[in-house]
Formats: sequence, C-alpha cells, structure tokens
Amino acid sequence: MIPPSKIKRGRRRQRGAAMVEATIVVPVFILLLISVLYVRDQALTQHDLEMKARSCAWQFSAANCDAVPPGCEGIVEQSTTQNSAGQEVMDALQGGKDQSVKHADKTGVVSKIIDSLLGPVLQAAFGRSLDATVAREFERPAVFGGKTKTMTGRYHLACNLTPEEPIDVAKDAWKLFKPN
Amino acid sequence: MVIALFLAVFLLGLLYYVVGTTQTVFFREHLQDTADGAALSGAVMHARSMNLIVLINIVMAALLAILVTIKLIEGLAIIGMVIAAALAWFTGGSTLAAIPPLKTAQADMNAAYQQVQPPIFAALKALHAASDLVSSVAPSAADAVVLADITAKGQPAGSRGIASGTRLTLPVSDDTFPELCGRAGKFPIDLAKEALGGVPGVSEIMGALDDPMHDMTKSLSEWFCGEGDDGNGGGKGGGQSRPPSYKRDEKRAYPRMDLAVRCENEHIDSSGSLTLGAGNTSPTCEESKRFEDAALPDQNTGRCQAGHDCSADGPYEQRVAKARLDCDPALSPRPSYYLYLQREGSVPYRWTGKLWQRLTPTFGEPQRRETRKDAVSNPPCGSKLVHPFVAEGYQTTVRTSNDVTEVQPVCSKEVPPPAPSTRNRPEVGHIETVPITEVMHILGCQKTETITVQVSNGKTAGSDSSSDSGSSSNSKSPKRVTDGATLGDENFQIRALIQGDSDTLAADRLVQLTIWNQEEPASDNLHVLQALSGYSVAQAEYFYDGSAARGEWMWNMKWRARLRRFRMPEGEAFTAIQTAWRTALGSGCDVLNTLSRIGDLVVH
Repeated sequence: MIPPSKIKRGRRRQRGAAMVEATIVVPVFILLLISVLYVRDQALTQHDLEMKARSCAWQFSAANCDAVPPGCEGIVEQSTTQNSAGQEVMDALQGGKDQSVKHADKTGVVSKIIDSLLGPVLQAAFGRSLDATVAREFERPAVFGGKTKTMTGRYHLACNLTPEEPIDVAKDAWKLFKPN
Repeated sequence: MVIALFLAVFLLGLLYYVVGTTQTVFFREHLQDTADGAALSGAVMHARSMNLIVLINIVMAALLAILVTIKLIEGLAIIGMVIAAALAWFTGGSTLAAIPPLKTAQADMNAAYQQVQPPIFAALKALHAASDLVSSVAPSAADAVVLADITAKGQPAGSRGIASGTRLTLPVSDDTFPELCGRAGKFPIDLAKEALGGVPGVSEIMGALDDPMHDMTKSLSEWFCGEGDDGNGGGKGGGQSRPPSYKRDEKRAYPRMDLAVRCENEHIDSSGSLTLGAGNTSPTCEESKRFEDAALPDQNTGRCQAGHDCSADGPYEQRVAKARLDCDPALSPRPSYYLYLQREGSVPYRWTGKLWQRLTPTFGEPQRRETRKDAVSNPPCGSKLVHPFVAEGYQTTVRTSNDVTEVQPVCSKEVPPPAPSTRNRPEVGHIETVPITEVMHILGCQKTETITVQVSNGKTAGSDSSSDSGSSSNSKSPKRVTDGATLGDENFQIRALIQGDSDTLAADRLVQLTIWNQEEPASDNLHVLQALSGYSVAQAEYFYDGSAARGEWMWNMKWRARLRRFRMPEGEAFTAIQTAWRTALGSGCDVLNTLSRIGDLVVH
C-alpha cells in the first residue's frame, strides 16, 4: 500500500502537466487546422477561377471569337499562338497549284485568286483560337508568411464559326477578277 | 498526450487527404478540359474545311457567272434582233434600224466570251483540284491543330492525345457541271439585286427571277457555260491538268505485319476510298484483324495473353520478332515512342581465386514500360550514337532455338564486380551479387514518316466513287456532300482521347494512406476504373447549321462544330477509331476495349 504522503507528493508533481502538454499541442493543432483550411480555400479559389475561364472561353468560342460575352471583359482574347495547320493547308494548295495550275493558268488569274482570296482566309481561319485568363489575389494566412499571391485560371480553345453570306464572297471574287 | 498525438496524426492525415483529393480533382478536370478542347478543335477544323470547300464552290460559280452574264447579254441581243425583225412587218421596216447595233453587241459579246472562257476554265480546274486537296488535307490539318491545342493548354503536364474521325478525307464528292452553271446563273441576279437594292420593287422582281434563272442556266449549261464535260482535261481552253499530290507527316505504329500492309494496299487500290473502316471488308483485312487480335500483348503485363497461342511460331512471338526489326533505332526515321517489356534481377558472381565467375541470374516478373520522352534521341536500346537510356546494343534476333522461354534480350545492362586488388582479394567461393536490367521484347513503337498523298483529278481520293458515276462530273465541277452521309452520323463525328501522366500524382499514394497497408478491395469495376483514370475522352461533331435542303449544304458557309455526348462507335467506325488511337498513342486500343466493357456507364 502506498502511503498517503507519497500520493500527495505524486499529485503535486503532476500538477500543471496538462497545461504544459496543451501549450505544446494546441499550436500544432491550430497550425494543422489552418493548413487544412488554407489548402481547401486555395483549391476552391483555383476551381472558381478555372470555372470562370472555362465558361468565358466556351461563350467566346461560340461567337467565333468576335464578341466578348458580358462579364468576360479582359478575360478572353484571341490567341497569338500560331499553329502550323493554316500553313500546312496553304502549302498543300501551293503544291497542288505548282503541279496542276501552272500548266493551265497562263493568264495568272488562278494564282491571283488562290493567293489573294483563299490565302488570307486560310491563314485567318485555320489559326484562330482563344486564350482565357482569370487572375485573382489570394491572401495567405499570417502563419505562412501573410501577404497575397496571384492565382490564375487559364483555358485555351479553338474559335467556333459563324455563318457567312456567299454574296460577300462572290463580290470579292468579282473585284479580283479582271480579264485581259 | 496519447489522445493529442492521435488527433495530430488524424489532422495530418486529413491535410494529406485534402491535398490528394484536390490534386486528383484538378488532374481529372484538366484532362477532361483538354479532351473537350481537342474534340472541339478537331470538329472546328473539319467545319472550317467544309466552309472552305463551300467558298471554293462559290468562287467557281462567281467566275462562271462572268460567262453566263456575257451569254445573257448576247442572248438578249439575239432576242432583240428577232423582235426587231418581227416588228418590221408592222412598222414598215423602221425597227430594222435596231438590228445592226444589236448585231454588233452580239458579236462583241461573243468575242468577249471566246476571250475569257480559257482562263476561267483554267481557274475552275485549279479550284476543283484545290477543293480535292482541302478534302484530303483537312484531317491531317485538324490533327496538327489538335496537337498544337494540347501543347498550348499544357495541362495536365505531360499529357498527349489525339482527336480523330472515322474518315481520312472530308465526306464530299464531285457534283455536276450543269449544277455549277445553274448556280452561276443566279449570281448576275444577286449582284443586280445588290447594286439596285435602293430601287423600290427591284428586290422583289430579282428575287422572283432567282430560281427560273438557276433552272434555265442549268438546263442550258452548254450554251451558257460552254462545254463542261472534258474529263480528259482537254476541253476548250482547259489545258492539261495533272493530278496533284502533297506531302504530309504521319505517325505510324509499328510493327507492321505483312498481312496489315497487304490489307492497306488492297484497301486503297480496290475501292479508292480512304475511309479506314472500309478496309475490313476484304478477306485479307479480316485475316489481318484476327491475327492482330491474337498477337496483341496483354494490356497490363505486356506478355502473351492467357488463352492465346504463345508458342514460338504463334502470333505473339511473330509480332515481337517483327517489332524488334521494325523498331531498330538504326533505321531511318527513328521511332519517337517505344512500348517494351523490361525485367530486372540480380546476377551472382563467384570468386574463383583468379576471376569472377558469372552464375545463373534470377529475374523478377517482366514489366510493361513505355518511353515518356521523345525516344528519337533517347531510345531504351541502341548504339552509343543514339544515347540509349537502358543499355547500349540492339539484338535483332529474338531467339536461336524454338524454346519460348529462351529469349535473347534486346539489350542488357549489367556491371560485373570489379577485379579486386591484391590486398583485398576475397576468399575463393565468395559470392558478389550485381543488379541486371534487360529489355526482353520491343512490343511496339511509333515513327513520324513523311508520306506523299496522291490526289486524283476528277474522281477524287476520298470521294464516294459510286456517287461520282454520273457522266456530268468532270474536272471543273463543284463539290457536294457524299451520298449516304447524313448529318449527325459517323461521317461527321470526331472523338478525342487524352492520356495524362497520372504517375506524377501524389494523390494516389496519399489516398492509399486511408487503407494503411491493407489489401485494395477486390472489384472488377474498380480495376476498370483505375485503368481509365489516366485517360479522358470527348466527342464533337461538325454540322450544317441551317434548315436548307441537302443541295444547299455546300453552297452556304454555315458549317459549325459542337460537343456531343460521348458514345462508343460501332462496327467499322470502332475499328477506324481503334486504329487511329493505336497509331497515335500506342495504348489507345486498350482504352477503347476497356471503355466498351463499361460503355453504357460512360456519360459525358
């Protein structure tokens, strides 16, 4: 049997232990909790930004990248990235022209039509795409250094098409054609 | 303190879990975004090409309208002379005075017609050839745009993919020359309507003349538009027009078995159609397909599939032997992608007192591997010149005997223990073990090859030969949508497959924490879903956005693209897509087979 004096001494020795443990553990808990919330907020913000970029990109694409949809001002723009498709089609046409047209087109009228009428159309049409970029400032928790960081949502998409009238094309063809 | 520790671990696990889930969600979202964008890009490119052919049709009609206008004026002059002559009996000959100037006008118009007809016919021929080219080039141009879009998107990192349709050409074929002449007849009316738009009543009158003018010029096309049928290229003012060709880069999957090559040759020569699936109708193609199915390695292990003929003369062994020859990096062009079987193990060496004696090595299970980076300058095996990343050397012979288990590795990496110094000599019989890595088999590879595509001048590659049998089709005719192609059918569908590098995700490992060293739940469906986790699919189509009749589809630039719910292709379309995906990604066919198992569950 443990004498009462020893029990009393033991209790006295344990007094404050919980406080010490709490002092060590609580900051760790708070740090972990803040981390979880920080990761969650960051993910939600990133998701929001990408949703916005996606939504604006699809709307802008549906309008053939001509009219910026309401609420998407400053977010969408036509892409400056050139792709090789337009050039590939143009090269194919030029290759075909070299072989088939040169012999028939002594007047040069066909080359004029292909180069002047189809060329710009090809280059404009086959290279058209858009970029949507949404940026937002995101506040870092003070425990991670505070300040803000810029988060970005991006989207890249091809421009869809809008109907064009044949009469406009015909008028352009007439303007280009000048018989000798 | 124990409770606090438990809670801390719990919170840490929660943090990992949130990070892992977030990563996975973003990975899947980005993969799906890329697939959607690729499918739409592909469909948009096809729609643009259809609009371009419409534009060429219109330009052809506009050029021919010059002849029609001249003939119209000439015809009016002739009618005027006839009327003046008829009225002379009533007017006592006074209207006869109008005949000389009308005769002069008629003669002038005739001379003008003779002058402008040759260049216009030359232009029509060139434009016809141009539309043939667009029809042939469009799918490869779409591939280029899709690849550029995937690169531009760059998410998720390391993703690659393809968006392809079931055809190698656009679904268009030659229309008739009288139809072009009929369309040309409407242009003078349209232009007059445009010029006189401000005059009251003119629009209504011109509108009423539209259809009669089209019908008249179509039925009298020989008089209005000259001789149209010069299929040999020797018509009036036509000049010679040679069939054009063009070069394009194409990714081709290897090995190419002899049967597959024969099927491809038969397919192009006999039908003239370049639709991929159509090739499967011949006995050679059927046999080739059966062989390919029997030879296909297991999608998980890369080894001969259970239940298949795995003997030394079996399809699998024939395939790997051919793959080794076809994928030799010493050949030109070098493969840009490899799928191979690799095994790792250890080799014991015994010290004899004088030298290290190599003993029988032991190996683990072979693993199916693929190259992640461009293999052109970094293949798994090859000479020192090509910087192989597994080992130097390339053994082209698979085995020297008929024993299936005796495989000569393609290349092997093993560093024997160094010769010990005289001071530190080990005891005789001492065993030293060194690691060994062997590339057992090359399962397949992909090469980018430049091929020359010949486009015939009249009956075009890619056009429906049965629908072009009309006698009026010639080298100056416009294009129409191929007979049998209806909006919304497989001819207009584009399907995208994007493969992401899911190995880079920490998410998988993090989520594994939740089961903490336990076995994964055994479920077939879970296994299927895991196999699909690194892939995304999407479908889009190009379509005519108008209510006009079929005959108007190639005369209005109203072709557009839209996304559709992904549906598994069937029959020939399935084979065509499977071939395209296999060629582009190597593993595309596995995904399609897996998808077909759960096709009803896929809703996107």
